Amino acid sequence: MKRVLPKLLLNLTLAIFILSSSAAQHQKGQVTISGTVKDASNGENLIGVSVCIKETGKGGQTNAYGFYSLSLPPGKYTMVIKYLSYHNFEQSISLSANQQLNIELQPEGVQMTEVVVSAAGAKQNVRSMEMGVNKLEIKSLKNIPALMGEVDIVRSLQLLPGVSTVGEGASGFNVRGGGVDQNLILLDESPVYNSSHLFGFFSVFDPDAVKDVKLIKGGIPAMYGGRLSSILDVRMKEGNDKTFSSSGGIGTVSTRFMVEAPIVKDKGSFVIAGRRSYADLFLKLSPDKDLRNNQAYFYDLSGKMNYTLNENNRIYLSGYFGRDVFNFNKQFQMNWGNGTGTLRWNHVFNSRLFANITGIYSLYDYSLGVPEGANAFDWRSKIINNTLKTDFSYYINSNNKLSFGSNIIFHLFKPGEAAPSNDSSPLNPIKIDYQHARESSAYLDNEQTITSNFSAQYGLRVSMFDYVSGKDGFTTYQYEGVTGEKKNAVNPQTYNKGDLIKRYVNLEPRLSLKYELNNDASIKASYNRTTQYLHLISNTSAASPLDVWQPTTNNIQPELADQVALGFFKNFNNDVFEASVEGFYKKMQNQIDYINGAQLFLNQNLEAELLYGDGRAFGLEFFLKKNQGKMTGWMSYTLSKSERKVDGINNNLYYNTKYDKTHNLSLVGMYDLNKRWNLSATFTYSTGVSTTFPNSRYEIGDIIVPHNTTDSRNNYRVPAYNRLDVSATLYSRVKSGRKFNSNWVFSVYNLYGRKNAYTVYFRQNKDIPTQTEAVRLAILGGAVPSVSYNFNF
Amino acid sequence: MKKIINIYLPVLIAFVFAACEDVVNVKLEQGPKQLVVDGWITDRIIPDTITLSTTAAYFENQSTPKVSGAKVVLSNNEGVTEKLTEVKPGKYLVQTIKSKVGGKYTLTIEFEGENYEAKTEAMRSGLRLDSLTYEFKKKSAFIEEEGYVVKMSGQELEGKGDSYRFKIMKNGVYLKQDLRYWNDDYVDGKYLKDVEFRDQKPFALGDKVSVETYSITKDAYHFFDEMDKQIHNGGLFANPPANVRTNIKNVNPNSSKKAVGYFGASLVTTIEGVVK
Repeated sequence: MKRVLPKLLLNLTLAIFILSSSAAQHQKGQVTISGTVKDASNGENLIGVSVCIKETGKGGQTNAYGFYSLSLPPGKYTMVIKYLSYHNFEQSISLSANQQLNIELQPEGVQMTEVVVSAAGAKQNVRSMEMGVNKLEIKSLKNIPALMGEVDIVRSLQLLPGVSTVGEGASGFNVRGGGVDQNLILLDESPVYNSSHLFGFFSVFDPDAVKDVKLIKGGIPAMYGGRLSSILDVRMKEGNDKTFSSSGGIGTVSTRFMVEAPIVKDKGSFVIAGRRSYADLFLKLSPDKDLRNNQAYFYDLSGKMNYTLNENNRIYLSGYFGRDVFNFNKQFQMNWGNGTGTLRWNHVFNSRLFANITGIYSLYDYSLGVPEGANAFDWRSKIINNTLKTDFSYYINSNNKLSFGSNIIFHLFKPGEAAPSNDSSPLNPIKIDYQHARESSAYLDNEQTITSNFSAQYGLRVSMFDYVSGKDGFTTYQYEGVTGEKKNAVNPQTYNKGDLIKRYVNLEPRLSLKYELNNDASIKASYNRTTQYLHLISNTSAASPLDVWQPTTNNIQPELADQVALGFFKNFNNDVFEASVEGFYKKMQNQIDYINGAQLFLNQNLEAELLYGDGRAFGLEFFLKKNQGKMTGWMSYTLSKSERKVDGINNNLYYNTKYDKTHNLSLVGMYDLNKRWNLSATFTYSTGVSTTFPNSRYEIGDIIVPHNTTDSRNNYRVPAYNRLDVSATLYSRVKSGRKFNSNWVFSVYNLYGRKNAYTVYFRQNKDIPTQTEAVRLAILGGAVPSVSYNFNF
Repeated sequence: MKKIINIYLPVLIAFVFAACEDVVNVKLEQGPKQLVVDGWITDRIIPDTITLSTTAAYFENQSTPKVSGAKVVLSNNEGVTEKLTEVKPGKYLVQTIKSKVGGKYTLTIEFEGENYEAKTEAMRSGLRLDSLTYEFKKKSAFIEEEGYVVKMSGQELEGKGDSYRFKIMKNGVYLKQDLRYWNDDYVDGKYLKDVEFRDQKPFALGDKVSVETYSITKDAYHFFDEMDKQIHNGGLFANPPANVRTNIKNVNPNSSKKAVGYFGASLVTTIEGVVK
């Protein structure tokens, strides 16, 4: 904590400095109108709403808490707010001094209006500084066909340009040629370390509790840091502060229930949402005793409350807890899950200075073991971090918006501890040393309108990572030996409690430029450097829940990435269509790979098994979206390449990453057939993932071993992937005065039952031992139909 | 422990989802021919042989070609050197040298004008099995075929670094494609009681069982471990396919000709029993 306080003080001083200087700004003849924009039906703050002044054509956007601030010369104006799926808002304002105006937008008909693909305002695509950004609205996600009817944020992301996955049921997602651990997944600002339930089939976010999802792939603003490739910013609902409401659903896999209600009307509210899979309950009916005794389920629980103390102060408390549990007849058990907690204070210093102070707790842990018998053991691993952060937005004048802030994260890693779980077990207890680190950063970022059609956003983030010794002291090693083989630990060095082992400081410049060619088209360019100090140690085709996060150490260097991107953005047909083309090039340093046969679990000298190298990725992304009308949806196509060059692999030459996909196409269509039926379909096509095929075989005893004499990595690809999903939603009749609404969703995943290869591997035929064969593994090899029922009242 | 995960995860995935596997046609290139060495010397009375063969196209679908007429010489650290004689195509007989604790051995092979060399060492027998027990398991979601499984008990000797390979015989015949290896990382110095041999076809009442424990080096342990990973490469959480290590080196490091396989030395203990 000692180190946090000076930073906080620094921030506060800065704030005060700006406050006083803001008085000076006033004299320049500008006044400010500010406030929040909310949904009139439930009081939810609306994020990213364009607030415009008709007369000047200028405006701004609400921030993540619905706050906006506009500075203008005194006078009479018309304020216009357009937000898809809400009624337009227009109000005359007469500005003579600073003024506060809180606005509530009336939603259009609750159902059966056009499906909204993006919450963005009509011209946002062209006018905002953002590039490489995609927003998903939960409302639209609910109409996209989902695997087993489970509305899934992470799977939906995979339909966007620049996003790919290593296969069906694989955990996480890959952005612009980056690894799954290079995405910063934030749930109400708290990092989530594993975004998957059931290995990778479902994501951990309960759609009923989520309000807004934003994926940032490029032009990453300075306020974000800590991962190389992307930011997935998931915001939870705040809860209805007008009236009690609830929703829920029964699906093929899980049941959900959510309630929200005011604590004090218009002042405070809460929301609680829970979800549990229930397939295992049917196991209890099984005649097989071994099956009856099994458990296999996941659940998650999300909650949030907020309270508005007064016009200028609001407090939020949110939490998430989710878990997957497996238990096989007492022979084997395994469970894992994330937990997060966020306490936040929004403070409006004045009409132009908005502050946010947040405390965050996040953990990920797993345990597995054999509960009984001769081999009984229990194995655990955990990562915990505590964060304190401050973020300020200062609306300097109509042309400049300054953001600044700082944060510090205390990391604790417990990579693995295993112990016998009964007296008869012969296993010796083992404990890998805990690791401690402090990650701190500060940033300054300005969004500036330079001319009426040219804007820039520029900023700098400074990050610092301290690898420190815990209370029991710590011993570090250096590693010597042949690259590509297991190295030897040498030169042990011991440290005492709190000693600094190694410090890294990195400067991360960020720049975005936008030039508006006309009302409907713009060109944007960006550069960003990002640094990553945490690394997921995973050497399997898909990341597994047992993979361990590892800090940057005296041996493991921070990962660095530099990305440049250039894009063209255009709206046409009166903003009915939005289109963009973006090209990117990304260079990554200090990427981690593994020696052949690496032992990554319960290994005190894990670093002896690691290899380091560079990565590069480049690509072109095409996106066309239709926002309005009976038929909505989008087309996304990505042409890209992602490679790595690691000493000790592939003869030290560049090789394709597993998730390198030359072509990646997604088509998403939703159609309102009539007042009650909505039909939708998605089609995806992508190049098969890279893998290594043998070019010869040899015999050891009676075992045939596949071998590649060229020592190459990822020299082949599995067959291309394609899949069509369809769904139909039937809404209940809308009756005036009735609050209860429901719908049925019928869907078929993988409609034509294609056996998409997850891997192709090689094996000896069981019956004819001299014969060898290539085997295709399809994780979902058939069509998967499902029905779910959803309601709200 | 990793073994346990490997066994349960696929069951779990298959159980929850309709994962399916089928044999597909794949066109593969053929790599250049390489020498393959598969040779173990032991302290057993039955003579040991070194098998030499070459690599072949992956889909060759017949036994790989044996190497005849190579010059194969074995020596130990006590100054004994013997030239091995070919007794069957590709099989070279060891006549005098036997494994001894701490013994160091060098195998040299002259093949197609290239000289290859492998060095190894015989480790102590760190696991003293004293009994075999049997348990009848009924067919269930996790057990394909009902029958008896074999369990071993015995003392693991104190001192980290012991590794072993097990070979199991059923009625005098080695089990097919049987790859079992272990080390004392988690059980050093412990008495092991009724540890089950997993992944085995069940035995029937009255079957004769014989378990051979081979002491191996840590490097040989990794050889078997990498081989296991390479031949069981399917599944959601497979490791990337990677060549298995070898301790056969071309004496001329600049030569493009390489060899694969392993030469090792073991002390062997055997325990026998009858399923009852």
